[in-house]
Amino acid sequence: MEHQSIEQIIYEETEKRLAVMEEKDYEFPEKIGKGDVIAIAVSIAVSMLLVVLCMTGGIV
Amino acid sequence: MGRNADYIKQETVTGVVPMLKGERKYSFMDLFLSTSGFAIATWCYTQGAYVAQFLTFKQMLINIFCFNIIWVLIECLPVLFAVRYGIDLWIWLRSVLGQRGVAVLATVISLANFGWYAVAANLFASSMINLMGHFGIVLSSPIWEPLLGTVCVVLGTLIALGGPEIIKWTNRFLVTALLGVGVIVVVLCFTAVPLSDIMAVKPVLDNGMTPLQSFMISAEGNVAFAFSWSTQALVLPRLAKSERSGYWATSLSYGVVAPFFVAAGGVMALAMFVRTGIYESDPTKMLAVLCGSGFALLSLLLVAFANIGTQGTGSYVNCMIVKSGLPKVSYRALVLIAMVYVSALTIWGGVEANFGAFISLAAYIQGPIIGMIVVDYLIVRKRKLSLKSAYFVDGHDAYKFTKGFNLVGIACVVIAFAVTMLFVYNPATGVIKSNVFLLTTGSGCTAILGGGLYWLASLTPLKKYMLKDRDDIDIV
Repeated sequence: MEHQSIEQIIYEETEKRLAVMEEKDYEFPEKIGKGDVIAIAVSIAVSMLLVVLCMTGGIV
Repeated sequence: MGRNADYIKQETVTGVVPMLKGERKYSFMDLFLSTSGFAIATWCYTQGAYVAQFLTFKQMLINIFCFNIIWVLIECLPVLFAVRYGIDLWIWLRSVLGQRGVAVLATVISLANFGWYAVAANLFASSMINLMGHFGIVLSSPIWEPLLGTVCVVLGTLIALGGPEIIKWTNRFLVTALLGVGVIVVVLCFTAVPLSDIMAVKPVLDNGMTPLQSFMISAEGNVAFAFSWSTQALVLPRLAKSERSGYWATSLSYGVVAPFFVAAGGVMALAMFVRTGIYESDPTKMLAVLCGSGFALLSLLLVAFANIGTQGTGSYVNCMIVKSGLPKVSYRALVLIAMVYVSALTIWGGVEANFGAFISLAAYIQGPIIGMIVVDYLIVRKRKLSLKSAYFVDGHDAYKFTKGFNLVGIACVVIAFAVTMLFVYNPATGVIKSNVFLLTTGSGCTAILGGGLYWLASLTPLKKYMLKDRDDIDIV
C-alpha cells in the first residue's frame, strides 16, 4: 500500500515538473551553437580521412 | 510529508523524474571529471594491448583515437535532449522501442555492461596481488583473485549507494590524479624504451590475414569500445547545466580521455614487446617492468583504486538504466542485486578470458539502438518528443504501441543484430563473412543497419504506427 502511494507521489511529481516545463517562462538550458556543430563535423571528417589513409596504405 | 519529500528528492536524482533546469548539479568540469572517472579504468590498458599487436605504431594511434572520436561524437548527440529535458536516453527510447521494449533491452544491455565491471574487478585483484608481491607477500591467485575482486565490487557498491554527490567528490580527486599518472606513464614508456624501437615494431599477421583485415579487426575492438558507453552515456548529462557543457564533457571523456588511456596501454604493450618479446596486457606487470618499482607502485595503487571508482559510477548509471524500464524497483535494491551479479562474474573470470568476443557481442546489441536513436532524434521525430506520452501521463498514450512493444523498433534491433552476425562478422568465432566488415566493422554495421532500417520504415505506411505523437507535443 505504501509502495503504491509513493508511486502515485512520483507520478504527480512528474506531472508537476512537466507542467513547469510547459510554462511559457520556463527557461531551458542553453543550446549548442553553430561553432559546436562545425567542430563536430570537422572532427568526424578529419578522423575519417585519417582512417581512410590507413586503410588505403597511405599511412603505415 | 517530510519523508515523501526526501524520497522525491532521491528519486529525482536516482530515478526517472525529469530534472528541471534549476536542479542541475554538474558544471562542465564536474561532468568531465565524473565521466572521465567512469571511463578510466585498467580495462583501457587491456583494450590498448589487445589492438597493439595487430598494428604499426601510427596505425594504432589513428585506429584508437579516430574510431572512438567518430562514433562517440555521433552517439553523444542524444546528450542534447538529455540536457534540454533532464531525461535519460531510455525515456526517449520509449518512443522507439515501447515501454516493455525498453524494460527488456535495458535489462539485457545492463547485464552485458556489468561484464566490464567484472573485468575491472579482476584487474583490481591482479594489481593488488602484484603490489603485495613487491612487498614480498605472496598471495595465491586462485584464492585471492576472486576474493580481492569481490572486495572491489563491494567498495564500488558503497560509492554507488552514496549517489552522484559522492561520485562527484570521489572522482574530483581520483580522476585528476589518474590523468596525471596517465601522462607520466606514457612519457616513461617512451623513455624506458627508445621511441624508434617502438615505432619499428611490425605486427605479425595471422596466416592469410591482410593488413586491411588486421586494421579493421582492431577497429572492431575500438568501435565496440566506443559503443559500450552509449546506453549509459546520458545518465550523468541530465545533470548538466547547458547543452554545450553536457555534450562536450561527455564526448571528450569517452572520445578522447578514455582512448588516451587505451593508447597508453597500446604503447606499454609495444614497449613490453621490445623489452621482453611478449605482448603483455596486464598493466601491473607492464608498469613493474618498464617503470621501475617506485613509480610503478604509486601508479598501480592509483590505477587499481580507479577500478573502485568505476564500479561505483558504473553501478549507478547501469542501475539507472534498468530503472528506466522498471521504475517501480528501488534503486538501492538494484545496486545490491548488481553487486551480487558482478561478484559472480568476477569469481567466474570468463569475461576477461574472452575479452574481444565479449565487447563485440555487447556492442551488437547497443549498435542498432545507437543508429535508431540518432535517426529518430534528428530525422524522424525532428528533436520533438511528447514528454507526457513518454511518462505515460493519463490521456497521453502515443507510445503505448502493441502491448508495450514498438514492433518496428524491436524488429530493427533484431534484424540488424542477426544480419550482421550471420553475414558480416561473427565476434564469437572471429570469422569475417563479408567485405562489408572491411568498410564498417561489425559493430559499426549494426548501428548503420539499425538506423537505416528504422529510417526506411519511417518512409513507408509504418510511419503512422511509429509517429502517433505529432499532435501531442506540448513541451518543446
